[in-house]
Amino acid sequence: MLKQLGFVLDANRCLGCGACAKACELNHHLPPSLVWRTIRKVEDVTPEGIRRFYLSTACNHCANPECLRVCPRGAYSKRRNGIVTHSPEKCTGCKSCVVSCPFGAPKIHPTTGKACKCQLCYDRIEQGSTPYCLTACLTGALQLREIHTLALDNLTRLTAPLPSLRLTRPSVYFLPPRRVKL
Amino acid sequence: MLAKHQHICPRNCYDTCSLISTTYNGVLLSVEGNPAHDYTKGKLCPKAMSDIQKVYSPSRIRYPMRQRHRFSGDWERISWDEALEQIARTILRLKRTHGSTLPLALNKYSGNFGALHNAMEALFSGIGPTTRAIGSPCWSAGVDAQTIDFGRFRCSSPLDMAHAKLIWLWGVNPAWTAIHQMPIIFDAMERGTTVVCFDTHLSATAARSHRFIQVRPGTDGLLALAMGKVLAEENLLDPDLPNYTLGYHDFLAYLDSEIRVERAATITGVEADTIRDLAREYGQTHPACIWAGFGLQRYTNGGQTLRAIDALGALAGHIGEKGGGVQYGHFETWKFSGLGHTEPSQAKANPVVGKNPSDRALNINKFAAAALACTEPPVRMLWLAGRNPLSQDADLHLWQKLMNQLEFIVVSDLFLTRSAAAADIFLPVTTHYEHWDLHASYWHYWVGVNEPAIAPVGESKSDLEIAWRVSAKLNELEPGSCTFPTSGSEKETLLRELSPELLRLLRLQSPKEILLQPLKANLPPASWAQRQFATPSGRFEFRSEKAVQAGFPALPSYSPPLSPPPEAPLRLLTPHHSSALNSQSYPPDTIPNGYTLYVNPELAESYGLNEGAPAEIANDLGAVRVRLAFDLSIPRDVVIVYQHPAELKDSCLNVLLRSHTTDMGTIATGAPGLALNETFVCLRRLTGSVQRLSPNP
Amino acid sequence: MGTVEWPLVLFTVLGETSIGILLALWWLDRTPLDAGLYRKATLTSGALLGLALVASLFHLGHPEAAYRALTHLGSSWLSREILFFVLAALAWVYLFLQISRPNGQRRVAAGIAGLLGLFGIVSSAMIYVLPRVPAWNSAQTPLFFLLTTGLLGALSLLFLGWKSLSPAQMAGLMYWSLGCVLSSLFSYILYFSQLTGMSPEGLATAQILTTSPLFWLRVITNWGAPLILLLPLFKRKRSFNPNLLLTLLVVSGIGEFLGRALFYLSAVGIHISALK
Repeated sequence: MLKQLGFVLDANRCLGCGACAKACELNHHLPPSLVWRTIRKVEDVTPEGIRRFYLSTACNHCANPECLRVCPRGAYSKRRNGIVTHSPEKCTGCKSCVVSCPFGAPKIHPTTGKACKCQLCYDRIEQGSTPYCLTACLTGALQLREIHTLALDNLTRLTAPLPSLRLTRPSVYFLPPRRVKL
Repeated sequence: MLAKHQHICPRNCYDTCSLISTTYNGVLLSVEGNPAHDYTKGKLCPKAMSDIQKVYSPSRIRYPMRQRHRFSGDWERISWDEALEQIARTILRLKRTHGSTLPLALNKYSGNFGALHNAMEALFSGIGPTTRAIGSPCWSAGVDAQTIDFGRFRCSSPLDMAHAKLIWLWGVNPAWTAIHQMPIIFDAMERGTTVVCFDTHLSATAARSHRFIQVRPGTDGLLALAMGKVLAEENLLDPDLPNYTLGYHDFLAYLDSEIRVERAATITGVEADTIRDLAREYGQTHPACIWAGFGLQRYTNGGQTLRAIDALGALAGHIGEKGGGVQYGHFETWKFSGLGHTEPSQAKANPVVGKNPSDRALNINKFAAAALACTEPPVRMLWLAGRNPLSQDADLHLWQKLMNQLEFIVVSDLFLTRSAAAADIFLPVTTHYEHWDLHASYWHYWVGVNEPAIAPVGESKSDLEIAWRVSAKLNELEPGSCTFPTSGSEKETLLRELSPELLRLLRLQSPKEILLQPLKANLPPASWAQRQFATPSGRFEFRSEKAVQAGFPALPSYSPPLSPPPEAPLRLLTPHHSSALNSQSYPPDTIPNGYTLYVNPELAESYGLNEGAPAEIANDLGAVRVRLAFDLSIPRDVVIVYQHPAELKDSCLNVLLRSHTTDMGTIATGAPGLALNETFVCLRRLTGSVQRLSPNP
Repeated sequence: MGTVEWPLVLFTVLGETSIGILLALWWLDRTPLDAGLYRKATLTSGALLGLALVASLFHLGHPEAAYRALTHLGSSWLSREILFFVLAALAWVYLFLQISRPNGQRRVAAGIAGLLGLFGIVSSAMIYVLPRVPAWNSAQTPLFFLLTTGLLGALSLLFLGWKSLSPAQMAGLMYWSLGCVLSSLFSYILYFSQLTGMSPEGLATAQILTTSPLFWLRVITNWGAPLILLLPLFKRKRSFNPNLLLTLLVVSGIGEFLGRALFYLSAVGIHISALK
């Protein structure tokens, strides 16, 4: 079986500080209006207590990527390690990927007019280094794993409101946060 | 050409990170953490990651400027020589007119905590006895409490917390304000350590803890005393107490006669059974560490709160324990020489060095009122450095009055801050990428050198350079009028700052060795491990003569915080947010659009206000516009605004702040602290009418 | 909430009208049509198709590279759309050559061009059948695109041929148009009820629609006015007023443009943010 690298986020360790997103922005020289990694605050309250946590997400490098399916130009490809990459030289800026990705990962770059997204710093990984976001993470909440070898017992995926959205099989898992009693 | 330089993040922050910058042909390219540092471990928070943006920010002021009329914004660029000439001539004229240098006032604090930034104090000392802001707006009461109890104010290495089996994070929010501590805590949790967070609301840290104990603001001391009482009742006291403490019988008698757990439960909002559970767990788990935050002591009873928590730690036998203790902060590594002008500072818990004995000392927290009250002679000139009082201080109406009646105001800063709007002369200063400096932390044990990586941006100059030039100009106009050096080398000055004591702590033969890399002081990782204390008795003092001399009860005791007046029934808390540090915002040049008021949804409902609704908080001092956001963990009589800078045109949060001071602070920092958590406001709907809304029954 | 992609609105509606005209020609040409009308209709169709293709280029960030978008036919409906529209355009050129010849195979040519165009339109629609956007993710998306083709094609030919078409042919086109309007109306009502009952995103789409003045303008121009205007035509089958036919075409055209604009505007993507 081919490898599938993917992000695993320990929501118990993520403080939502934004170092990952900032490192991504700085090192990839993204213009101010563009982000590849976003942080969302999630709160869920039940009688048993509250879970207030952060989800740091970027491209999920899906096993079955929608961007790759819809791109008319084949600008997307999946590498042997599962990373979904985008070649700007092939891109015509048609936005098919932008509207079809259930996770909103591809964005149009304001200056080139072409799509772009998190490429999981594949060049760094090939040199034996880690993606900028992981290097920046202060608490070790954000990790990169080989998904097929992952013990999935305690991990969850993102929930989709519609079952059909599971089709893309995002390569991202979360260690759910514990609940704090109020 | 690529070059690397080492820096220390100079912000007033627990973490005081060690940084490495990369430059290309003298332009700053990147800033990374220094992996050699065992606490910050090469990781940076997003604030420091924004440094390059800050250094080259278009809104940074690059030249000296003169303002034609205060608050007019009518600035003109002037040369350094013009600026220095005007400053020096004013100083000399005031000195002649009043026959004294006391009309000259300096108000400086933690805009940059580097040792060489004390040049401003040394410059003023060189001029003569002057008027000074003393004390600290931050931690004074807690420092005094720990000084009373332990004799000195010190904390264990933050890495020592890894050994704790139980960690109590009490009134501290490291997830936002000391982020490098969090991996240490998380790792401990993964090894089985229980983490309990005590706070007034579910902080970012509380949300990551095993358990959150919600305490009514200002009642933490009572909670600690009640838990102490449970320890005594349930026979969980450290059997060794008679050997290393003083007055524990008196203290136990006080607990026995004055403290009722049920009553404490009603006041603190923590159920009696919870208090008992917590006390049992704390008494039975070894080692157990308490980290007491600064927010706890920003009350009129703040010093007593810290004393009560110290006492709880002592009763359970956690003081001196590896992985235990009551951690607050330290100044053990701040042994700087004071720029060669006075004796090495005696580990004073505030960075005021080079203080002239005949200075006129004004409490930094009541500075405006005190300066206005000075008559013989009056204060005529003010220099603000590393400070933004018009944004961050209390009594802003008095500040405004002071600014209006002063003859001359100089502000040295990076940006045109709210306070700079009052300046006659603005002097542009350098960032920590443009000057030499020496830094210690008040939390970890590292000391390090900050190298310049790039030439000063524009015509900016370091505080030390400015001090030399002012002295040179003074001596040029009137030889002998200032004893501060008139020139020098920043690097040599820095090396002279390493006092013999600091060299010993850092195990250095010669000061130059510090230039190679940051170093960790040779201090025991766990404080008070020998249980030999620096108090007069050499013991941990439950009963303290020093406290009595300073006018406090001998024993840690509870006195309630202030109660809200009927016309301002809500307590306003203004904790730090992860994206701002006092009036500094991150990323730079992004000032949030107005203040957000976090309230309990039920409170908002009782005022008929929805989430996102515009509203106003007000008290007798002023009013501030806010937008409502909900947080159901906030008590119904508390509202929260995370402090951040405001646009100059908008009224800033501190118009609501009165200079209530903390009970303690005078012993170690020279003046009581600021009880800023004792601010009360009312909430009003914004409909044009200024009528106060009362909650629906 | 989505944005109105004007180039795409123009491309799809004009392209569909063009193909609709060709298909209507092919259908009516069972009884040979007047050569003048055939020529007029073919040229109109060609002009519309040309305009549509030019408009589509404005949607791309890099129109100069549009030709390369053909290379991913295996999975990309956009690739297929481009392929079929390019083929339809070529087939139209073939049709043009046929009508310029005395014994040209115009019916076969119109049929080929229309069929290729139809494939193009279905491919267009399939681009939007995306799990991420509940408002688009149904069989109704291709249905709407096809109904536009049917309605505007028929109305265009009705207007162009009012002088030369036989009453039976006119009536055929009118019944067809009425059928399209009614199908459009009823399928939209069905679509709307599904939307509101489906998901928060669907509900958001419904809210965007009902609160937009454009939507109510569409209700009038796309369904209300055509129904009212078609009725008098049925009464006076023999005397067609060209102004009435033009009004009908223009109003319906506006309705279809608005409908397509709202289609893009009301797209609400699903937010995947929670953990289970």
